Amino acid sequence: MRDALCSEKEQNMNTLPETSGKAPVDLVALRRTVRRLERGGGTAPERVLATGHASLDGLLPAGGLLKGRIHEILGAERTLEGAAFGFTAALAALLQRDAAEAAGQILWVRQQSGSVRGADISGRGFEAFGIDPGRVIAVAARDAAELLWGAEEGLRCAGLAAVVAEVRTVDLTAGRRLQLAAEAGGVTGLMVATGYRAGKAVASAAETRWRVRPAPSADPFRRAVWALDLERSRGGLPASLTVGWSLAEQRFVAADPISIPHPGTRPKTRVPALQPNLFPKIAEEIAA
Amino acid sequence: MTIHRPQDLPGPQELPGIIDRFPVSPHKARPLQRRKGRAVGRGMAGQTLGVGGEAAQFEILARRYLAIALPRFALERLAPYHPDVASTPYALTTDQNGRRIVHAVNAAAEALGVRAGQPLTDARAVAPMLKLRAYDPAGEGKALDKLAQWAERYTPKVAVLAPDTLLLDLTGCAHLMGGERPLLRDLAARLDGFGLSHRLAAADTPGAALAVSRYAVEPVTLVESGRQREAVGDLPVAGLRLPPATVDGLARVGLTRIGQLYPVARAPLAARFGAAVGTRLDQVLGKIDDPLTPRRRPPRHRVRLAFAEPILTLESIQEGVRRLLGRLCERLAADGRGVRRLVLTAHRVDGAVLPLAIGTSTAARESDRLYRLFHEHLDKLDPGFGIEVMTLEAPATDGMLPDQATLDAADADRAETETGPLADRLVNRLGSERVTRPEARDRHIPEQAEAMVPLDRSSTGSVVPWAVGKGKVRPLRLFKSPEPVEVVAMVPDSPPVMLFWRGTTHRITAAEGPERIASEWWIEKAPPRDYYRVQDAEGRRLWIYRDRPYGGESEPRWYIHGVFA
Repeated sequence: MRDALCSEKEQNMNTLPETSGKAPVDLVALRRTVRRLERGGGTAPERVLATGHASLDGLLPAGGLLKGRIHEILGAERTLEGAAFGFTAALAALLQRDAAEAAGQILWVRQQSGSVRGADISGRGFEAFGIDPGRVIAVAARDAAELLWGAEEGLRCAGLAAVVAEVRTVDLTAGRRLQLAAEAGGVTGLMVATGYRAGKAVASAAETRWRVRPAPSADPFRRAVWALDLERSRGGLPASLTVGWSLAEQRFVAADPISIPHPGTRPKTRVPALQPNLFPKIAEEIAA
Repeated sequence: MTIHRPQDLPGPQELPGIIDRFPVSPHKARPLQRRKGRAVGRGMAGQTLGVGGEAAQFEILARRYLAIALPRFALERLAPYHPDVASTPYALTTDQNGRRIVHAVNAAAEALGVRAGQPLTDARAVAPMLKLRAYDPAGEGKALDKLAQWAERYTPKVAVLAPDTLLLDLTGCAHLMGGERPLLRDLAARLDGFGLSHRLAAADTPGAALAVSRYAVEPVTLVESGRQREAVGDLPVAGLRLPPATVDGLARVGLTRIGQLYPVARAPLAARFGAAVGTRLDQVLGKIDDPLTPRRRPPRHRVRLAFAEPILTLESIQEGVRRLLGRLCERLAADGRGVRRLVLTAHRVDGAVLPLAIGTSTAARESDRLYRLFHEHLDKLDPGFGIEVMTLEAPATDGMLPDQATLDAADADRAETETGPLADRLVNRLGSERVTRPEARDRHIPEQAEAMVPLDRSSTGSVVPWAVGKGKVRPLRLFKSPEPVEVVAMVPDSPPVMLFWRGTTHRITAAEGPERIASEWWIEKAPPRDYYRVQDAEGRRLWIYRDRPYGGESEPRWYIHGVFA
């Protein structure tokens, strides 16, 4: 408590005189301080999740993803596209690893009504992603209202590391409500929204909003690659970058192909970049 | 007086029904009546004390029972659905050896001379206009049970004696209604309101209450404590709940009144008519125990709240639940218990009984936390014309350590950092099967290698621990059931180059595999699957498989099973 007060005071003292000097950076910090004070959470220092990816963290004014806020991750509605879920799962894995042992639960809320069509979360997949499935509470809501209710209840429960909600869209009112709940509970909310068309600007109450598209990877099953568009970042600027996620080490890595041989087991048959004219050769290789 | 009741009811003196048969001492409305008992000769509590002889005097709790006999229940219960039952001659019939027999009649039919047990042809002869219905014992049983549930507003211990009698254990409960007399008056008024003819009797023993209710001249009788001997003396022997053959046998030797049995020597009586006569007699007189079997075991933790005026608004219901929870949680704390299940029962003015149950994942007795679980559902509780009584009981409790005083202020909101209350709220609103946790199984086939298990249920099947970050590369999202997909492959036994799925074409640029996964031979005999990981031109990474190897009897098919990130 005392630490928090000190840092607050320090921050105030630091930012105020320096605004004249280094305007852009300190203005951002000042704005954040003011916003924090406005919301009545003046004494709590902001908690940040550093993603460990230098350029990704560099895009965010806080030097990482702010905890206790809502982050929206937009993806395509097509069932076969897992990029947005992948990026979300990566952030959830980092949040779970970052949380204390007792508070590492993840609430994963999705909507399921009647016949389930399409792909659903998988414990084995979480395991491969570095999320402990034993500390995941999976909730199947009947409709959108129930889903938002579940997410809000989760966000208010400080025992969770993160709340992941699979939504189609979030309107501004619901978004604000969730944001307030996240601030009250201090739980990070990751909203995977698959109902937004690319290129359509929508108002949002979230701290950040990412659009995630899959990108071809040179080593696709050990390193996932996603093209990220940071469409909105409070106090920051929109940006785009491509990141990789190492499935072996469960951390963000550079997207470029790295020529370091992977320590994991090699598959029996390896078929690199199939080209139609290469097929006879491949066939030989398989036969061999 | 907190009980709402019609104000125009006459007082005890004016009400013709209630007769004090043997007023020795003025009836006192004390919560617990005590009287002197002796260890010897009393089977009830005396046995535990062993041989104390005449000297071992101790106080036993005078039990009080109320019998509700409903002589015309079979017919009157139908009145709300069939208005004719109340006005026109009406009878219920049963089939007996191919003949139709009158089982029950209403007052109008009885006035014409129709009797229960008559063949229908005879009944038709005296009452040609007689309306008929088939007797439905199952429906009657259900209706009586519903009435018994309603009667739990007076006491938690209600026994159902089919087909038409209820027995209430009033011990320690009458004071809630201001004593037995007001309770009887209230009960009689309500039964009148339901249109049920009734005969009520309160006495020290179930046997006496039943006999008096069934055979006394007055419809409502209050037998003072310890006066059952005089009360049942004039009643017919049939009141002893004996088999009809025994009653007939006793009548043949001139024993028709219960009082006539008092001086008769027991040994010859038992030799001729069996031990039952003596046993029943002793039970009626309270010399040996006559346990009552309640329709359900009353939970140890139960609180009740009666309202001066029936409540209608959501706010008052919420306040009522809060108060009940506060009282219940105090008792739980005193007993070192926490609830796992709670049932709130609202008794409506119209006699409807509305239960509302919640469950918790761990023992809990924080009234705020429990209230939040009810809060979601209270708006679904339809108060109708008002709720008169609410009860809250805990059918399932677990041991729970006493609350620990917190030294640190930061500890005060420790409860909020636990996920237990969150899980309870989710389960109570969404249902158990919608709040789950993934569990690993020791199986090869991917859709069987894990299961979603309800959070509040223990594991079923062989559970294996998760190996976080060390498992095989598996897709983040899995199809519940693999979906068939069309493929183009250059050589039959190679990964596909094109994939057609739901109207879209995916050109495969990279593939890895096959990984052969077969189900365990001792569990299921199915062909092994060859899994490939593929990436399409846009970077979508998918998990597909061929359901059998090439070269078998049937052509293999391709399925899409999962989506990598």
